[in-house]
Amino acid sequence: MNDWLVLLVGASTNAAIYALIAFSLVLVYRGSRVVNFGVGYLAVFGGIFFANTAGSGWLALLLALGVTAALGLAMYVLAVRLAERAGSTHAALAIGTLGFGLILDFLGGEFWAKQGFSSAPLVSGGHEVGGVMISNQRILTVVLAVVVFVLLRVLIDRTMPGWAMEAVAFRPSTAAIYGINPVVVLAGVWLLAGAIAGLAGVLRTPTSAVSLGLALPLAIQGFAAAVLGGLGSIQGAAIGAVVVAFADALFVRYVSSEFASLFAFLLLFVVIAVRPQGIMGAGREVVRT
Amino acid sequence: MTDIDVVPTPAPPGAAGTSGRRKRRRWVADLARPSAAGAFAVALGLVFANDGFWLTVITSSAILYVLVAAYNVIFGYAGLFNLAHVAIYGVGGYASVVIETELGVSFWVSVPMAMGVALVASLVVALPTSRLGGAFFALGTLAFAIAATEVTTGWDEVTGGANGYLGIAPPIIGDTVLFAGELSFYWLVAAVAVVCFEIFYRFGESRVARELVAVRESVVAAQTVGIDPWRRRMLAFTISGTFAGLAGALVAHQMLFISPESFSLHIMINVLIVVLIGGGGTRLGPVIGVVALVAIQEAGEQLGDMSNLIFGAAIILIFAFAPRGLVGVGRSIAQRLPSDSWPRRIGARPVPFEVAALPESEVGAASRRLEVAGVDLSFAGVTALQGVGLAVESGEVLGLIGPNGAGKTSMVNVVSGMVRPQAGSVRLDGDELVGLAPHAVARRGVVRTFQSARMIPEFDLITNVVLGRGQAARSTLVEQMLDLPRSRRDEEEAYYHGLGLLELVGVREHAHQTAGDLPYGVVRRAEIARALAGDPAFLLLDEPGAGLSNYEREEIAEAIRAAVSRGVGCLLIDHNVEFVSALCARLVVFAQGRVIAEGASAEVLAQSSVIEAYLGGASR
Repeated sequence: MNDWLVLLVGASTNAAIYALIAFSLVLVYRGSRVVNFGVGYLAVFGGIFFANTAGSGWLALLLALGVTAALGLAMYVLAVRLAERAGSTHAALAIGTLGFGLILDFLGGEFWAKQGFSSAPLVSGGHEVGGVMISNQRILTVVLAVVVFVLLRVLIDRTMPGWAMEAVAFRPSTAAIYGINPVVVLAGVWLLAGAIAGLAGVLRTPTSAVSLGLALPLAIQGFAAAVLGGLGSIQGAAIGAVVVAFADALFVRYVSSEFASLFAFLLLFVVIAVRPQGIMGAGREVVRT
Repeated sequence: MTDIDVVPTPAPPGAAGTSGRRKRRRWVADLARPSAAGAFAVALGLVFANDGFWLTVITSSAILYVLVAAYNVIFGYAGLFNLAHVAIYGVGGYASVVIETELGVSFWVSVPMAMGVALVASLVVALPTSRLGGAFFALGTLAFAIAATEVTTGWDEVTGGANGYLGIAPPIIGDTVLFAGELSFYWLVAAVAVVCFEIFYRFGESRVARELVAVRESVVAAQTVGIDPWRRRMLAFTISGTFAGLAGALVAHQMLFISPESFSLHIMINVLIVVLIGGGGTRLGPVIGVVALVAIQEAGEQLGDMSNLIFGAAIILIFAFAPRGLVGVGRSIAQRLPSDSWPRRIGARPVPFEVAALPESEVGAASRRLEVAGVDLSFAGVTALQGVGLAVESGEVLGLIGPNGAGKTSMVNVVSGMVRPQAGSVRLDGDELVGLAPHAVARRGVVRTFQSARMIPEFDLITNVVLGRGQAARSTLVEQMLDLPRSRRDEEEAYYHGLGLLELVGVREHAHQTAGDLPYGVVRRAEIARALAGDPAFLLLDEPGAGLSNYEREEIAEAIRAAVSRGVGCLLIDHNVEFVSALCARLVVFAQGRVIAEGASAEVLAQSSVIEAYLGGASR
């Protein structure tokens, strides 16, 4: 029983982190049709910034989100917008985001050491449930992920900026005819995506150390979650994140810890092969012939 | 641009001598290129013979070149963002050393076997992913790569796990042990790299590479001329996987120790950067990219671990200012002129050649029949076609007219295999075409054009037309990839045949200009030439005259007459009734997805139901 609870708590925290990364990916993919290979660098940059700033409190959290939002915007302008104007393909744009990530990797190593950083929890203490101590930090992580999920749903479904995002996602040139400036909307999308990725990194810092080397593995877990959910919907990404985190935990617990994250990726490979539109139903532009 | 007089007579006897001289010149060029590459490799080896550090750098660079050139096939030419390439490289590396240990065979036996294993692994990646669109393809291959790393790490009885694989024996020739860091191993690797350079150079000019680029740029255009996109992608996986496996086997015997780290995603990133910096889909791009990478890495070391900054900045700058890489920069400076690659390859033939674009042998051959019957087509409840049928015979033009939304283009889509009808049949001489893929329909001899021309914009017109001549080639795939004599004869035949067709449609003066830079009317006419290039039995022309001037339309009418006089059957859609009735003895009229009239042109046009359908009235 305790084992189960420990597994549940650990997997839920991971699911929250993966979900935030996946939200960031989905927002960007819907808007710019770009898979952001630099998302992991945004996240760990946020986490490392948080661990080294202003006592790692709430102020540091806000500052970190501001920094990663600005980095998201910079990524859009430098790695995506410029390349788009030069006529690069979407695959090239994805590599451009990776290039921006490598610069962040360098900057992170310059400002701080190339090592793991952890911080004190944002909220201390915990609750004991069934003989297992659940830290408040873990609860906070899951709660914040849910809050972000709800806010994104409200933004997309209920507000003018959200509809503008939808219009641009559908077709930028059509959106422009309706008086929407796609560049402004996309800049907003990347700002938001940067902040959400940064939040994932920040929330991870108190539970386990964050280093620059974590950038690619974190991004890859986010990809897995986003693709399982069809790479187009926020709900899909949330469900995908839960599936990835629990599949991982169960596999390690019951099958083999040697092949730690093998299962999630085999699952991803199989899902892409069998049902590329994801577990959540209709996807667009999935198959090319 | 070559200036060639077109005279409809066979080449005079003098042609043989000229062509002999041309072939000799070509032969010299074919020897000069690998000799130069070999001399370069030897010179590097001699210069750095006593410098252990640089000897290692050039050895590693030669292996990297093989890996990158293989990636250039799949990412550069085929445009597939395959993130499993380095995983396949790892498969080759592990396979070679595991085979040596388990089977007790030598390096020379294990390397070809490892290439085979890598090929199979590459196809394992390809089969489930190759139909996916860009982002999904990238993530699917990434998932494979990570799963492969996990398996290698976890399966430690065979691979040594995270600790790596130790005790790899260096290759031996006679009594000489080829140790990495010594000149002998460099000679081995350099020889392999030079051979690969020649192979990939030839590949870059080959029909196969051209078809891969066509699939990359426009799947629809490729299918229209009978190219199977799926098979081409599989081929790209086959080639890139095999040579990635070769590079992996070499690197394992260079390091004499491999671990999952040797084949990590960071290597994948390096490979991507090298191809992008050099220029994807070019022959020299991989070479230039490897040199640039070495320069960046050395500069980064000098400045103190700045390689990531330089890599990242290089990627962003390249995409913003030189999306085609360094080769592209050089080319755009040097080649503001029409492309000259065909005259250089084939040699400008200074003698008249036969216009013979259309096969005379088809004349008088058994008449063929394309018959459509009872076709129903609807899209999510909107009916496009309802029980329609029509028939075209060899040597006739059947006009298909009707108001907007009548289902004319849907008809062409059904016949050409682009959409599958809910009911009905399309038969060519009694053989069912419904259910065949578009490229298969084209290969059977039913070729279409589009309302807005679908050409490969970055190819010149003649290359676009040659693309349509694939079926006539007699050379095998390997001959094509290596540009062997029989393939060259095919290319020469296709080239002159294509020039003849461009002449036929009146745009030969533009043959060597890039399709994307030419006016619409020229491209439209070239598209008809491309459709004719594969000697089709039937042409489906979807509004060939739309948006053209009267003069251009007359050229097209002439081309259609010429094709039909040689036995091609033609289904012609157009709005210009004058244009259609001048070409067609028979007409079919569609309105709202049904056939409302059929018969001799003059009679059909006089029918009141037809007039109403066009001007509005009863049929609404």
